[in-house]
Amino acid sequence: MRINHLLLFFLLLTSLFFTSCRRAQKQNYIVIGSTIDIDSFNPYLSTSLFTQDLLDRVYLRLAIEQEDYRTFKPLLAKRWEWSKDSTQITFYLRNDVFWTDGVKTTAYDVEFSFKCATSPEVAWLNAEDITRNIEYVKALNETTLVVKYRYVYPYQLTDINDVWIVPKHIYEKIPFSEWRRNGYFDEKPVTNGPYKVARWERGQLIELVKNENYFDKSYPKIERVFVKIVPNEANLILQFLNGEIDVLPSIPPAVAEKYENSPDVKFIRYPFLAYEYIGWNQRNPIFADKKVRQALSYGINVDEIIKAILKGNAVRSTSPFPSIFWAHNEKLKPYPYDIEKARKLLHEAGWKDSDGDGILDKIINGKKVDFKFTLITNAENQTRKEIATAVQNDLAKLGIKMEIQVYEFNTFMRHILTKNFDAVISGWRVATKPDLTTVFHSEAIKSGHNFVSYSNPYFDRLNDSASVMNNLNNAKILWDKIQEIIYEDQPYTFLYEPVRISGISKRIKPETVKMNSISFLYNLHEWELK
Amino acid sequence: MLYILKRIVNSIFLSFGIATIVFFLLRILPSASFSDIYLNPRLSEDVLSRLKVAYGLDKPVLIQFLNWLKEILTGNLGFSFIYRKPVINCIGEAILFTLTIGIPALILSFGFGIFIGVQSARKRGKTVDRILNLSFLILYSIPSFWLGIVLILIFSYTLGIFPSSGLRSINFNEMNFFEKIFDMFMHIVLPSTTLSIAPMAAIARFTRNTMLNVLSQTYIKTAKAKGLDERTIFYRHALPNALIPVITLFGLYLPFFFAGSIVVEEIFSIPGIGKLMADSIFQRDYPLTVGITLFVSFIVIIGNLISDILYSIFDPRIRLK
Repeated sequence: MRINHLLLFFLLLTSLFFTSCRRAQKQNYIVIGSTIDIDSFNPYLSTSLFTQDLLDRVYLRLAIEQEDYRTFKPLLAKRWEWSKDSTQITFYLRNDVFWTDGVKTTAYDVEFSFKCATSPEVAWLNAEDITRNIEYVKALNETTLVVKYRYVYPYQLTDINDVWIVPKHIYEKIPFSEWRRNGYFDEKPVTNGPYKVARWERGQLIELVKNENYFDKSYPKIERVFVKIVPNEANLILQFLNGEIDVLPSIPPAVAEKYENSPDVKFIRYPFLAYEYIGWNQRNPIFADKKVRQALSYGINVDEIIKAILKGNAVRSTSPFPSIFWAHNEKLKPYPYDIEKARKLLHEAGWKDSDGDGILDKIINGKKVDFKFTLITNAENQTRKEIATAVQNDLAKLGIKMEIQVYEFNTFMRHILTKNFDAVISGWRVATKPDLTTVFHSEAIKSGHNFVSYSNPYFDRLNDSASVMNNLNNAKILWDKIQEIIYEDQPYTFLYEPVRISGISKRIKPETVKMNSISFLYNLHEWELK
Repeated sequence: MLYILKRIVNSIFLSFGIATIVFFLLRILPSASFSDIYLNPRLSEDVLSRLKVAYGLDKPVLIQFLNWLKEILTGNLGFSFIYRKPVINCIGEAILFTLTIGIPALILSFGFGIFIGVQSARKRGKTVDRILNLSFLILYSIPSFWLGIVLILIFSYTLGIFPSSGLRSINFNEMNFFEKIFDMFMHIVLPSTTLSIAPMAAIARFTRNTMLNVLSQTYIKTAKAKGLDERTIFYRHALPNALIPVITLFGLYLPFFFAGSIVVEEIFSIPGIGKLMADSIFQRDYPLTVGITLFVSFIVIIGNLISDILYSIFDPRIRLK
């Protein structure tokens, strides 16, 4: 009798459960899966790229950056005009954009946002360029905004568009000095984009819902967007394959290969504005000679690395500007795998196996030195560790003895920044403005990220002029030349540009989805369900 | 009573001492620098130094320590960088999640563990006992990250019975009361099971051994000689005495269930103490790491205290002094 009761109770519960499931399925929603949570709804306090991807769906910028990183389409600003001397842009804002609490979004909000962006107390991570380049931002009235620059340079629009526009009437309630010690901004975010924040359960779930007052009534098409946080990648992928999650920002190549033909999921591959490289520390006398660096580039079989380790999901890299970037020099061809040429170059540079021990040697400063060095990389990155082993094999064929040392990420960074290494496998995510100063300029050896201590006065000179040139077509000519210099000098052996693989479920119409290096949610408001 | 009070005061000082050591260790470690998390080619030294000012990291370590002491005395346990609120609040929210899977796991592992251990002892030497004994060993040695994924693979991915992450469905807010209870229950099953398997095996094995030990005592022989039946001897005379050493395990495992498991919480995406600890370390949120250390060490010490107290209650021979 008692057991019967219990059974009945459970049946009841189960039926309730399934009815609730059906109810959810009818709704117009998608679930995005992520291994990390966002860090704040205040864009000026956030440090993660994933957070920015999401914040871009709830906050409007002045304009939408296009995939070519050069042109912009109107968004909050209907149109803009340049002054005659190009040091000033006047933006004309839309009159029909409202914050979710009903207050209108005006030019005063933008003026205030600029103050947030440049305030030393806020200490926004991307503040430097904007503080240096923009003199002031002034609202003339609710819809007219003037931006005054200190000088003319190519990325004036990019810079002002990087400023997140936040609601003045909310954000000014907390003094800047208190921002980093106050959870206020995360409680009830006031936004103005196509989506608004319905809830944020830290470490669990974010729910975005359609903003009914969004100025463009035809968007967004999908009414609710959930972000489910699943820190364990295996669990996350299983949920995606299972249909519980509809969108996955990043999928390992091996998984994508295995489920390529599955009818339930679809993979989208797109280039990522980044590249992986081997940096040769030119403080080490072995790597000081550019012939040696060229020989190393010839002697490493990068094509095989891409095929075997990355399953073909990468493009060979030839320069510090990825191939999808407008400044990229297309005439440069990757160094082919040519072991004879590598041998010849090493020979010319004075490296011979004089004692017959199978390892090349050379007299440097009166002392016989073996061609031996250590390559470091970080333990968290499986691909890099595999590449290190491949490189070790390739170089052994040239008579070079290479050791591999793997460090935990923070220790790894310390070795790099203190220049305490011989060679390193690492990667850069490239900024949308072409500027190689922080990475290759000789001034960046002391304070910057030129940790390979590359120095070429000719490069310095060209880079200095190209990065301030206003005419991008003219600048391109210089950038092409600059990339040729880097190509010739090989301060890095450029390995590959990663291809990002994202996944979407069969519920989403693939033709409505556009993903790119700017964001995997680039046009989320246009996505449609089948 | 005075003894317990003394022990509690002692444990507060002890966990504080541990936290102090961790506080200084975090700053001495070569890799633990604030700039590391913000490595970004566009980040200038200038912004970095402003960040240090904003988080009070520009001051000498001793001053930082005094500031931290102040936070401890106000009951905040420090102020978290990433959550922008007092550490005590972060722990307060996380502990609920940890307990939600910890308490069922505690009941499961002690309930089943003792039960199976006793059964195994009853059937000592027989095939059942041998099989059980072997499976204790296997279950105890299974790493929980592997077990968790296998359970997910079977029960969520293939059979689709239990959800594999979080503690609530995404449509939780639209459910009625019963649906909510049921939903929570379904979400708790897999993580609690994963958490309880290894301790369960340990408890079962331990119970079996103490049980066998007790069964060989002379008073059991006396009971047999008196002609009492097997069941009475087993459950009345042997079991209560055999359970006394198991109490030690209770004290040992209490922090295991209440302080959160980094691995299990990561796999099943439960934002409990373990996950909080892992995040705080990776993101170099010093105050949070130190605060959680303080909390966890306190629980460990309290766990020991509780088992001592339970001893005195269950075993009249033991008196606390």
